[in-house]
Amino acid sequence: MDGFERALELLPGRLRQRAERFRGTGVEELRLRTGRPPTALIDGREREVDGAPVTRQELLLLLEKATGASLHTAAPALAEGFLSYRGLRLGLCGEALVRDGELAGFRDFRSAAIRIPRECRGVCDGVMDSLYGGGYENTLVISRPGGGKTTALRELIRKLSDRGLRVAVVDERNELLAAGGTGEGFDLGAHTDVLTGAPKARGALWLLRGMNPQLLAMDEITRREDLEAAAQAAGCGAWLLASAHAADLDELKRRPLYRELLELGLFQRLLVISGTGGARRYRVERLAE
Amino acid sequence: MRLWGAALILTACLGAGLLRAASARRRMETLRGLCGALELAEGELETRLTPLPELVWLLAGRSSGQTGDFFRLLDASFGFLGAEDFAALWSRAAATALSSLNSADREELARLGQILGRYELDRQLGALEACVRALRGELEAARVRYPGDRRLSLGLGAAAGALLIVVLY
Repeated sequence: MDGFERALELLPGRLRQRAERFRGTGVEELRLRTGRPPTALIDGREREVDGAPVTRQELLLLLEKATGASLHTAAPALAEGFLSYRGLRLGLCGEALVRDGELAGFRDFRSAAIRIPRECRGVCDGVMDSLYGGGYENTLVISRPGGGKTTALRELIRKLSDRGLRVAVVDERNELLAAGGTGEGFDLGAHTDVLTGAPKARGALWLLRGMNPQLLAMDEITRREDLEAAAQAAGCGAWLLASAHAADLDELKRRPLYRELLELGLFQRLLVISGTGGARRYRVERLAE
Repeated sequence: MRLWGAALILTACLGAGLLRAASARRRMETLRGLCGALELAEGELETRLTPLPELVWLLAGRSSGQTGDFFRLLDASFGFLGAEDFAALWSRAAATALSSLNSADREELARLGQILGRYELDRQLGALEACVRALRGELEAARVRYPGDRRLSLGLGAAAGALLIVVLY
């Protein structure tokens, strides 16, 4: 079952029927906003799925399906603003619930975005030589949100693993493997061990201790703990492959966390993804030592 | 022939009395089973944060009688989640499987179904506790009433049979 099928499975009856016609069109996201028509994001543009607006009840049904009617198990993920459902990321928005100054979840939901993971074999073929022709080096993949970081990371992991490198992946949100209920997921290569659901920082240490990887991969460095985990992994002799939200090196330098990451000198190569949909461009930059 | 007819009438009326007593006993068994299952659910949620589909599957395997039927039916209906909400699936399974319960018992269960899996953990645990307390109260009341009710049912059956025989003959 591919990502789009799993996304359809999540949708309540009427929306499912209407969204069926977008099968095979390369839908990147399905977006539902109460009181507005549902839309599908294709090639960076939102198209209406159905003229009738999404109701609050439909959004609640979607949420109940995504959590398996078990909100208590989804509470930690909700505090981060998203849920994982069989490898799909379900971003949520609404009235936030704040406890002790921290986001604890939502009091009410107003919109949801279902991001559909895609396997795009060969997207990194053109940059493999410039990235790893002279040997392995720590690589950071960057793009704007929704710019194809995860897809590229997945492809790099598979390629490197199939070349014989022992790869360990901390897949905190189950987006890289995107394993469904029966455990199937994307092909991440013959020599890859994947840890899903664990926080990056703890998971990285766990993998370094237990799986003796030559390369440690992680998606989206967004918190200080992630940065510390990357530094620790580099200190243990494993190569690093990670991603971050930034359009280019200049934007990366402007963000305090990423500036710190660059100052640590953990990464030597930068893979910059620009453009949208089928017109994505991949560029390799060398970071100063 | 008349003697046979009178005996049949008396047996039928006593049988009706016995059935009434048996239905009260079945309700008690169901209430007892439900209280046990819901207490187990409370423990599972509190200590393991068990997701509801797994919890219902567990309870279906550990319960018997109508309680077991209820959880098995609910387990089978999880495929409809997303098309219908959990509260609706819960109420429908209760209406189908828990035929020995009265409408007040079922309303109590329906209230629980509207909270389970939908709100934060403390609220779910509170609802489970309240439901168990209410059902246990009903069970105790039914247990106290049962011997008297059983005698009354049998007595009324016998009296109705005797009256019918007198009227007919």
